[in-house]
Amino acid sequence: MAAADSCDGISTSGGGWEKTVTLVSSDDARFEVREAAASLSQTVRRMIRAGGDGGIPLPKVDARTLSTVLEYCNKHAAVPAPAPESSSAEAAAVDLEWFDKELMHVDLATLCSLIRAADYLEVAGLLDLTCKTVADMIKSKTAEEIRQMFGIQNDFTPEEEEQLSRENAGVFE
Amino acid sequence: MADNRSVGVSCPGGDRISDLPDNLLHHILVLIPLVEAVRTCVLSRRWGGVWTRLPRLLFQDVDAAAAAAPRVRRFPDLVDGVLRGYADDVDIDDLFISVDVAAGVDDPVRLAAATAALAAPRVTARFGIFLSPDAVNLYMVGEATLQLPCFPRATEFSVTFMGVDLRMPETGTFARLTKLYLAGVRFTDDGEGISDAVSSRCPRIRVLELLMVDGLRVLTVASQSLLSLRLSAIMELERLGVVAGNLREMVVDTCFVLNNAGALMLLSVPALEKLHWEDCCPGQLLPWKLPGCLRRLVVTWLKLECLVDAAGGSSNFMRILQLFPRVHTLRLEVPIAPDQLDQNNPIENVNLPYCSELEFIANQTKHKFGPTIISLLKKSSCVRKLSLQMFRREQAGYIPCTSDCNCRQLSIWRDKGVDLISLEWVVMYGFSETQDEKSFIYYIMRKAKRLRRVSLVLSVGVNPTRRFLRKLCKLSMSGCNIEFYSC
Repeated sequence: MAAADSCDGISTSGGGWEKTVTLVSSDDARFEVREAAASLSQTVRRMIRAGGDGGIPLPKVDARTLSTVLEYCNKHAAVPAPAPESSSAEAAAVDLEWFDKELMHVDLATLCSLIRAADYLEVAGLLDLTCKTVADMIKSKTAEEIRQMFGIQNDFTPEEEEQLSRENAGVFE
Repeated sequence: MADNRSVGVSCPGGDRISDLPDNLLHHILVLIPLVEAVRTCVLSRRWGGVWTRLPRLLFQDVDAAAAAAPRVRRFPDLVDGVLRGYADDVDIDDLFISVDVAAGVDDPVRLAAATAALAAPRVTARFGIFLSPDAVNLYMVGEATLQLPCFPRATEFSVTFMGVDLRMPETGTFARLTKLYLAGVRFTDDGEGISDAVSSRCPRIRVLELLMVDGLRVLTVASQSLLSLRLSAIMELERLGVVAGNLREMVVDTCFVLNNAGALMLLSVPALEKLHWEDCCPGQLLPWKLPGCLRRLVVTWLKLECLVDAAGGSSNFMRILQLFPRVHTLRLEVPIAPDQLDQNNPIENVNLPYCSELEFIANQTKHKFGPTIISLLKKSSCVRKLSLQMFRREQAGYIPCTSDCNCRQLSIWRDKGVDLISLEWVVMYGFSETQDEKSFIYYIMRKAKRLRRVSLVLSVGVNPTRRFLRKLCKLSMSGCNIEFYSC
């Protein structure tokens, strides 16, 4: 089967003809995306190469999450290869940074979904971005603060807790 | 919950983060300081063992000291505790220890030795120890010896440890090692151990870097896998032998300074592409196998040389140039003014290799550079691109040129014998429209019949005068482009 089979259409955005592909979320929502953007996902890229009819099924990602992932991909794929010295490249980098920051203004549940989706779809940049966001939330917090922030239940028995602090006593104050 | 449930289904109020699989939690935890990552074990049962399989362990005493919540009692205990608590059934990809603070570690040699011993069989990618000079009490280190174990599975290995007496393992093979980096250490065997380890027990080594290594007098590297060799600030090197059929890149910087008269260098590097030489030339050169053409040769004048003037005066580094008949890009960072001691211009008496690109970097003194460059170009007629970069640094103890210095002989500008038939492009950095620079540009534009491009990168605050521009226009009638850049 030819690779082109999974390409459902051609869009004319940006003045040029661009190949697009259709991605299908777990809840059957269809997204038509430029192939260049969709290819930021290694998983999708492999599926495009393998070919197939009627869009690429992504059974592990729901529509809401997928649309955020695609927002990221569309933005990042639009950036031309950077020419490091030019001032426009610098401006583009600053713009991307702002975009990323804005994209990460989501609740925890969404953030966790994005981490899973980025991992499953193999979008390296988004995986780094989301993990960094969570890491920054954990950084310099006490255990109790972390538990509260993420809703983690402390399920240790008092005996276990005591044993833990004994084990840690040699290392931590 | 089923494994393949939808990613985006939200379970409000639930603990979404603990539901993430371990590999994703690791992805998050490697982004925070290790102390804090380890401390997550107290959060809940789910988190108890997550850190014990972290792919990267980066111990930093600065982090450990700064961490707000878990205060570390002693840095070495943290290292020890983590390595002992780490899961038995997984390998460590990456292990790096970095000590920056003086008070952090009272016995750095023991810490390094203990860590190396625990890590040696388990590290599969990178192992590194960095002890900043601040953190090392040289008096204490004085007698201490760090015996390295063999790391049979690591691919990268680095030790930065000022003044420690380092012993390479005498047995075992670094079977997968591709990169070895040692800095600040000391050898007491004149270099026998490291020579032997690299030559016979690192079958896959590609990159070898030795920096500020004490007591390395003899280094013999025989390796078919080695691609890149960098030797820097070794100072006492007396003999260097490199037999490496695939070596592409070599940097030698401040290694032969103390012994250059009696020193010897043997080279059998037929595939060499780039050589960066910033050193005295050893008294004896044995070029066994060298490539006919180098891609890039950089020769930099070593400032120390005038202090340790042993063999052949300050121009002895020029002997390196004679090793290579052809070079694509030749970069010279050498003085163009006559030597202050013997009033001889070192660079002018040298025959340059054939090169198509010549880059010249020099400190601009009151000596005019134009005549020197012209007399060099006269001898290297195949140069297509010439770059000049002049620094304007004030020189202490500057001696004015004598009356017979070439920069006072204006007749050179009328020299008819110069043939610049290949020259197509001239680039000048830091152009500030001095008379010297202008004379040079005018001369080149008149003489180089095939010149197509002149690029002038202006110094800060310099604007070309109208008169200069008019003259350039007149000279460029034959179709030569002139570009100005401001930095």
